[in-house]
Amino acid sequence: MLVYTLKRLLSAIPTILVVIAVSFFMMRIAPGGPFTSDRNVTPAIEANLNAKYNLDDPLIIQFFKYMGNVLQGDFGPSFKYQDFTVTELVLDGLPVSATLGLSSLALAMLVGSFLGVMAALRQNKPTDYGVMTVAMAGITIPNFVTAPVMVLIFAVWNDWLPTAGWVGWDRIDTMGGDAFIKSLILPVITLALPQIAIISRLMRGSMIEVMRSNFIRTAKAKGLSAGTIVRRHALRAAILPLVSYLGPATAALLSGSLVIERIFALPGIGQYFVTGALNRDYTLVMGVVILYATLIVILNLIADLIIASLDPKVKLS
Amino acid sequence: MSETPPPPGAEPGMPHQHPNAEAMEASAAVKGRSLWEDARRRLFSNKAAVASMIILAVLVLAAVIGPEITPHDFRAIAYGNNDLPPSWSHWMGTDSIGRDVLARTLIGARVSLAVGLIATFVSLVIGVIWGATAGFFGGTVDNVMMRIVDVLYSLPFVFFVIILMVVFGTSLWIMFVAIGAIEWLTMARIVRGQTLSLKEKEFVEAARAIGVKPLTIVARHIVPNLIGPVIIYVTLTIPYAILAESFLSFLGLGVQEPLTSWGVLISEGANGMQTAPWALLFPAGMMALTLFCFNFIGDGLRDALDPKDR
Repeated sequence: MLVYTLKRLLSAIPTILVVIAVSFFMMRIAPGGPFTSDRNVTPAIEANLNAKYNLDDPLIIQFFKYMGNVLQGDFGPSFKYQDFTVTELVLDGLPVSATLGLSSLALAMLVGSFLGVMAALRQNKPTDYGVMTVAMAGITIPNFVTAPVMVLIFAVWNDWLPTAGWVGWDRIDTMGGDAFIKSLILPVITLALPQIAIISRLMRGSMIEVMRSNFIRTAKAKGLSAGTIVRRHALRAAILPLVSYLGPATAALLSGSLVIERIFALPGIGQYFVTGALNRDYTLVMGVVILYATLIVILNLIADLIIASLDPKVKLS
Repeated sequence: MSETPPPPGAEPGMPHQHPNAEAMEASAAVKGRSLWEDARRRLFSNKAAVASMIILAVLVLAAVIGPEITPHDFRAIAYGNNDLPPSWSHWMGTDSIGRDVLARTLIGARVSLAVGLIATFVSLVIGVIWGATAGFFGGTVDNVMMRIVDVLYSLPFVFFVIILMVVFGTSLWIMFVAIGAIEWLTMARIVRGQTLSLKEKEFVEAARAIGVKPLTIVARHIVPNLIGPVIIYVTLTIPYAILAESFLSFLGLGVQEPLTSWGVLISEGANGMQTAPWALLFPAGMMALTLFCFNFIGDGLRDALDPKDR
């Protein structure tokens, strides 16, 4: 197990290096630097700025300097928010994005697997068709459509929830816990919706397959109750595809959060990323991409390790 | 789905494969149907797919000729006419600066559909060439090429498209290439898998035996036989490409004013939804409808073309 973990860790490193290299060189091939878009900076000032941020070194030197700094956890200063380092900006947005992302992931896993199991146990009955129709809609309609429409229904036409804004952990005391929860409901649900749809499909397929397998027939033959069979035997086996979906789900939630944070004006990492991209803030964009890529690689790794420990059929090699 | 089993002569899956003599005799006797005839019959008996094709045809027609015949220009700003609800002169109302939502939605449809089709074509070309080459040559070539696909798969690709759009500016052509470049990976995997099984077939062996060059075999014998699975995947890729375009445009990184697309319209509509919800709901509804249609057609084609799957 330890050897396998180490091997997988080692194989993850090249992926992250590729991410850093590709995003670095793509950003630097760009015609025009981060300071050329500013209003009439004189050539002398631009040269000074370039010197300050090492932009006048040869590209390859810049790359190694940057790599060295990244390995020490220093993603450099932001080019646009000049008083802040990228690490500070990312840490600033992290509580918001983490709250949003983790709540959505938990909601999607819980609701998605519940719906999937329900559909599987009532295969080809109205419940099944209902769940699968909703899942089809959830997969097809993107969250930049569902989110504004739900805001329109629940916040504009009916004054049940706020249209946008973030209360945050540190303001629970002054604004109250229910304001905090209310500000989270729409963003979390709209971010989770497509994942609920995908997970319920996955879970349905996996559950149907498991319920047809021999060990379930054995359990039935032993006279176990339907509830026990589902809970003690079927679910454990059926949960495996869900675990391997952890990595892709994270990737989808991260890209979805760009849209959701923008619609609901949440001050998270996604917002910094989008404004950074619009401003050509090299270091900020790269810092976020490296962070996201690392996160996805780590979650894929965790998923593989969980599967390896749950499923005796998977050989660790 | 279909009630009648395919006749013995129409062995599904391999249109170019030479059927054996026995099957040929049988098919001559009962007037066999080809794979494509069979698939078309199955597809047209799928009600959801047929309805989707009709709706989509209307939408495409509206996108192509609609902007030319609507009385209002999609760029025409009329400050007195802002936030008008749907009426006879503005079927979908007007937005916050008085532009006709119908005209804008139709132009948006044109741009979004064009991006979807062209980006899918880019992904098709890269994916088929990559996958067919890897699958056909096998060995080290296959290992290296598929390893690259694996690494790319594990990257957060949307973010690279965003970097690409930032680096090279937000032009339509960059968008075609960028979206095409993220959608080809699955295509390459599907094509490689099919190629691996195809190259063991007798007709490829025969071609090799008479000395046909490897690249010619790929082009003339492998690629034509990939058409079935590729068509299915293409219809499923188009909605993804449309989604990717709208996603970027929604964030302000895609199509730029004065040109518009569904993503731009939904973003504008969301900003003004308190006063003009129709400017959000019509483009959003039309986009959702289009995505549904492509998905139903894709599912229908899969059922029709892949008899093993049923």
